[in-house]
Formats: sequence, C-alpha cells, structure tokens
Amino acid sequence: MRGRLFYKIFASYLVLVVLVMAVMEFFLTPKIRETITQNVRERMIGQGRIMVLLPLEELVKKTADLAAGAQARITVIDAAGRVLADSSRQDQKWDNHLNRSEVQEARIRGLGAAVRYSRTLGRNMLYIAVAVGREGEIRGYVRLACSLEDVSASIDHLYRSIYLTLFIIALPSLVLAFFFSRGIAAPIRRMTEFTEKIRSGERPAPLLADGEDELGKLTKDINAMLAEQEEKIRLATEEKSKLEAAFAGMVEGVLTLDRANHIDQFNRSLRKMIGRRQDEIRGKTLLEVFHSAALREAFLRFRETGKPLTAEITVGDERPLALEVNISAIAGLPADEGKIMMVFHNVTRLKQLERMRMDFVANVTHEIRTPLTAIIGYVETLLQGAASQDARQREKFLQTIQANAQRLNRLVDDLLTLSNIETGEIRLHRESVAPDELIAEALKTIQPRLEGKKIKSFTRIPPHIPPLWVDRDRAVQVLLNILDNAVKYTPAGGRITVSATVQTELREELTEKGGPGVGVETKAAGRDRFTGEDEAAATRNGGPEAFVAIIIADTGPGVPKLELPRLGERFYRVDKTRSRELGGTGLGLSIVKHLMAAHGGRLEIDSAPGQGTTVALFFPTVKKQ
Amino acid sequence: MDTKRHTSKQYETELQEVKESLLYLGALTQQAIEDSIRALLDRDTGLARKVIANDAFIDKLDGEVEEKCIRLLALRQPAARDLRFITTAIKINGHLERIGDMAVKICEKVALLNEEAQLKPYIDLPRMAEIARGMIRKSLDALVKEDVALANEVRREDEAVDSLNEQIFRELLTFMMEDPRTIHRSLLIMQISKTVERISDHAKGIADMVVFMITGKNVRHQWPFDEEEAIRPGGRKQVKPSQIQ
Repeated sequence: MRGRLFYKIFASYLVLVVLVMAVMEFFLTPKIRETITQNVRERMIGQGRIMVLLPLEELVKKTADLAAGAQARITVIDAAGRVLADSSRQDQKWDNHLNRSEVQEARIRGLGAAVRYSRTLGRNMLYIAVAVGREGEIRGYVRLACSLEDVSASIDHLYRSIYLTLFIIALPSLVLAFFFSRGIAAPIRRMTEFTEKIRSGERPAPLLADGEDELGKLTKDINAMLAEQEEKIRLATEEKSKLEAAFAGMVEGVLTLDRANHIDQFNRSLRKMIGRRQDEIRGKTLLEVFHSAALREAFLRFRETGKPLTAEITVGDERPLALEVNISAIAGLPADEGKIMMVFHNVTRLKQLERMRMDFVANVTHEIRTPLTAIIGYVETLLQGAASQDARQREKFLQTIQANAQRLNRLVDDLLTLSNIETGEIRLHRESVAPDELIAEALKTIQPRLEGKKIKSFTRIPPHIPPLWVDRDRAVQVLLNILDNAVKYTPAGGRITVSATVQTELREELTEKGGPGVGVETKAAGRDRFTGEDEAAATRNGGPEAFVAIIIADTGPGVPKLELPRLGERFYRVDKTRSRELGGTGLGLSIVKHLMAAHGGRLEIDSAPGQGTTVALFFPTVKKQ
Repeated sequence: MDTKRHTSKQYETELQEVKESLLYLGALTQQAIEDSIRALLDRDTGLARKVIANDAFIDKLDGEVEEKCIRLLALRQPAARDLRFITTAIKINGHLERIGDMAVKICEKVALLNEEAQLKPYIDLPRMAEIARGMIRKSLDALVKEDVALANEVRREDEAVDSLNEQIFRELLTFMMEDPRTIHRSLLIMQISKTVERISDHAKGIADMVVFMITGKNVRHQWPFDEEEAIRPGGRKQVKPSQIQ
C-alpha cells in the first residue's frame, strides 16, 4: 500500500498537467482562433486592395485567375449592385448585391467586411468587399469570399499538434512524478513505521540510510538520536535502580510527604518499623499512621520555620520503638517544591543502653551505700558507748557490721569478675569435663542450703552425654550462681530439677524451644538479648557444633514475661525489695551471662508468674577433631 | 470518607480536618497516659506536673473539635455516613477529653505516691496502662481504616484490663492486711489502677462508636461477642440458623 504522501505528490503533478491543458483550452484556443481569422481577413483585404487597382473590365475578365491566385471566391459587382462576374459560377442569374452589408460598408468607407451564412454555398463565409474607384465616383466593387470552415480546419490541425506535444510532455512527466513521489514517500513511510515501533516499545533494527540528501541525513540523525536516547535511558534507569536499591536497603525508614501532607513514598525499613501494610501507609496522613503527637508537633514546627529539625518519637504498643526523626524539605526539582522528607532512625537500642548505663551508675552507688550506711551507723553507735554496756548487744552489732562488710566485699568481687570478663582479661583453662561431674560438684556445694530450706533436688542426666569443653571452675561458678538463685526464690518444700540434654545445633534449639505457656514474644525478646554473643561464638568456633544444655528448673514464683529480656542486666531485679533481703548482689545472672558467652555458649531463661523458672545453660562440647 | 468524593472540596477538607484533630487529640492523650505511667515508674514528679499542665491544651483542642463538628452539622446538614461520622466524632472527642482528665488524675496520685517510699515494684500496672493506651490507638486506627474487626478486638481487650485491675486490687489488699502503714499508698495505687481501668472503658466506648460509624449499628451495650460475626461492614445482621426457630 502506498502512503497518502505518495498520492499527494503524484496527484499534484497530475493536476498540474491537467491544469496546463485546461488553460490552453480556455485561454489559448480563442486567441489562436482569433489570430488565424484575423490573418485570413488581413490577407483578403490586402488582396482586394491590390485587385481594385485593376480596371473593372480587367477584373471581370480575369476573375477566375484572380480567384485561383487568391484562393478565394471573387465576385465583381458594379456600382449599381449587379454582379458582373463571379469566380464560382458563370451562368447563374444573380440578384442585386448592393444590399449586402459588406458592399454597403464598402460603398461608404471603401472597405467592408462581414461574416455571413452563404445560402449559395451553404457555409459560414467571410466576405470582404473593396470599392473600385475613388470615393464619390465608385465604379464597382470587388468582393472576396472565403469559407471559415477552411480556417477552422487549419486551426484544428494546429490543435492536434499542440495536444500531441502536450501529451508527449505529460506522459513522461507523470512517470517521473510517480518515481519521484515514491522516492520521497517510501523513506518517510519507513521512518514512520520505525518510530511507531519504538513508540510501541519495540526495538527495531536501525534504519538503512540511502543517499546523502536531506532524507538520508534525517535517517542517520534518527538512528543517532535513538542510540543516544537509549544510552540516556539506560543511564537514568541505572541511576534510578541504584537510588531505589539504596532507598530500599536503607536501615533508616524514609518517607516523603506530598503537598497535601499525605504520605507519598516510603521504604521497606519504614514499613517494618511501624509494622503496617503498604496500603495502610500510602496516601495517609502522619497522624493516621503514627498516632504520635510528638511527630505532629515536630512537623508543624518544621512547617513554620522551614528549617530541618530532629525530633524523638515513640511508636508502637507492645514493643515500643524510640525513633529519631529528621525532617527536611526535598530540594532540587521544581516538581518537588513543597514536598517534605522524613528520615527515621531506630534509636531504641541506644536508648536502652543509655538507660542501662544510667541505671548501672545509680545502682552501684545505691548498692554500695546501703551496706556502708549500716556499717557506719553501727560503728557510730559502738563508739558512742553501746559497746561498753552490753556484750551481747556489741556482739550483735559487730556481726551486722561483718555481714555488711562481707556483702560489700562480695559486691566488689562480683564487680571485679564482671569487669574482668567484659574486658576479656579472664582466661579460660578449658578441659574436658563430664556434665554429671560438674552438676554433682555444684549440688554438693549447695547441699546445706537445700537442706536448710527443705528443698528436694532431682537430677536427670541421660547416659552417653558428651563431655563439655569448659573451664571447670568457671562452669561450676555458673551452675552455682543459677542454683543459688533457684534456692533463693524457691519456697521451702519446693523442688529443683537439674537435667541435661544434647543439642546438635544452637539455632535449632532457639526455634524448637518455647513450650506452652511461654509466648513467642518472650522467645523473641530473649533472642534479642543473647543473639549477639551467639553469633560471635559461632564464628569463633568455626560454625555450629554440638551443645549440651544443662537445664535447671525450680518451683519459685516465676518472672513475668515482660521482665525476661532485662534479666542479666547488672543490678536488674524483678522484685527490688525482696531480692536484696535474700542477699543477692544483683550481679549473679550478669556474670553467668558473660561467662557463658566467654565459653561460646548461651543462657536462656523461660518463666511465667506462678510457673517457676527454667534456666537453660548451653555449654559447648569437646570438638570432634 | 476515603471512598467517595464530595462535590464540595471545602466540605471534604473540613471533614478531614475533624478526623485529623481527633487523631491528634488521641495521640496527645496516649502521650499523657504514657507519661503518667512513666512518672509513676521513674518516680518523676516533674513529669507528672507536666502532664497536668498539658491537659489545658487537650481541653482546648476538645472545644475546637466540638465546635468544628457543630458548625459542620449546622452549615452542611450532612446525611447518612457523614452524619454518622460527625456524631461519632463528637462522642469520641468527649471520650478522649475524659481520658486526658484521667491521666491528670493519675499524675496527681503519682505526685502523692512519690512523697513516700515505693511500696512495691509495678508490673501489672504498666502492662494495664499499655493495653489501655493500645486500645485508644487501635480504636482510632479502626476509625481511619474503617475496620470493624479491629474495633471489635479493642472492645474485647477491655476485659483483660478489668481482670488486671482486679488482680492489682487483690494484691494490694494483702499488703494492707499485712501492714497498715501501707494503706495510704495502697489506696493511691488502687485509685490509679481504677483510673486506668476507666480509661480502657472510654477506649472501648470509642471502639463502640467506630463500629456504629461503619455499620450504623449501635453496639454500645451489647455483649457478649458471639454476635460479632453478625456485625459486618454492610451493617446488616445475619440471622444464624439457630435463631430462626
């Protein structure tokens, strides 16, 4: 199919040719006809004028010869109008010719012309009459007549040749036009198809450029432009995907607000931080998503001042997150005018650490001050003379002082141990130790206290438990610490069970454990606390290995699940008043936790109020070489 | 509000404004509850006084929301959904304002408690306050998402707070029986606990109104929840086979 452009170009040529012909027909034809008629007439007038130079008698005599010479019918008429001679017929009886218009005209002006239908010849004739003699003494007239049909015939002849010429010119020019229009239309059509393909997303082969003319250049330019565009698009896409990857991979939550203060874009981190689905965030307002008065106030403040600012907010209910949010305007493109970007940093852990540090200082001071106050108080009393009065009283005072001094000593010892473990100054003298041996040793040490509270202890150790790869003294210390806690919190007549199991892999244990009554929440929280050390341990030991879990379960009051994650923090006490009465330093679990970590093991606590507490100690076994 | 557009852009904006103000009020009251409990746990009387001082702003905002709602009622003469939304907004506004007052009440007690030694570590009380606070957030979230299921979840949580309150009550009773010197502090803690319990009642009230707004069904005094299946966003109550006879 040929395009419209082809027909347009071709048709214009066609119209041009037809127009030329039409112009010829309508303007040239009458002109030519007139010119030829004029010529014939001029000639006849000239001939007539020459003829009248002859006397009338001569004219009559030589009519036939003159007619032959002039190629016209000649009639000689006398002044009265009688026909003296006629070249066409001699014998005919002529009527008076004086009333003929050309003769009348000649009578007056000496020359007359008329076009008339000749009844004699049955044709349109051109008549020219010339008077013979001078004005006033006219002797007769010579009338020349010529058939106009003859003139027409010669005109037609002329036309035929003109039309033929025109046709000869038109035909090749149309053929030329056909090829020329095709030559322009075809490459343009190809370009159109090409661009259409690009628009529909295809990637066609480059256009073939033929010729060095404008079209060829255009083709080359299109090819070059396409290549350039593709390169630009590729770069832009690359840049965009890089940005998107950065945006998505950012630890910080990011969101942008559109001009109507609705959330426009956001990344995955943000979604995870606030735990909402995409459609619960997009297009919503800040309040709808965060329910945070602090965020709204920060946002309003930013809108007022226009200066980037930082605020702290808390989101979430069960495990609230402390977020630091930076608010700034999106600079750059005019399309982004009035848009706002917010970046959220999760500072929950930082806040926790800050709080722990503050608690620690406060706690140390408090823990040291309490026994010191007691010691100072009793010493003062003794100095004031109480000693001299009553020996028994004095004895009691001194005992109290001793107890408090010992407590202080224990506290300082514990702190030192802890600090040594933490700074890594403690050296583990690892050896192969059988778990039952270890448990027996610990139980033996604690036995008097068990008896004192009438607590029954059970041990369940299956045979073929692999030996542990631990520092014997430290391991016993760990077990003792846990048992000590168990004894402390288990009411009289209670029960403590110590068991051991083999764990093939640390990770499995994490997911398998967490029986009924202990929510997933607790497990997650517990994991948070200890995961760091686990991973460090795993890498240190060159991958997962077999563990033995020594599990100590008591029938004490248990620990609320919310408190579980905080066990192991220094000086952290669930029940602050009670635990100090029982003589703990508040550092026991902390030391256990760190010692287990130093061993490449782990501590895990499961508990619920009223259901006792289960402590699992994961010790590494002797590595299979 | 989200699904359909009003012919008047202005009207649309006004409704959205009411919603935003409600959410802001909600966020402020949640903050107040959190701060009041934090003041209790950290024995931070300064924080308690701050919460008391901030209540004036909550009251002011409450007045503004109410005025906005009434103006909308008067000028726009809303119908159907919009009317339900505005009436709901007025009621939720009232609940939130009361919750703000209760946070103040807690803080007053906290200030008194801080003048004496700590009676016991607080475990159940913060948990209770956390649930109550979560109820406010969830019920307002249900309002935003028009989520009946979420609103019903809030309505159910009220029970957990009630039982925690009773537990605290029993525990404090033992303290008081053991040692009469603890009676003053125990009573203060009891009052705080009771106030938190009332906050959760108000949160439940908000959730009830949200259900009303979405379904057009009044569930305020309806209990238990075996009928919740029947409350669907369409607002029609489905008859169970057992009810046909």
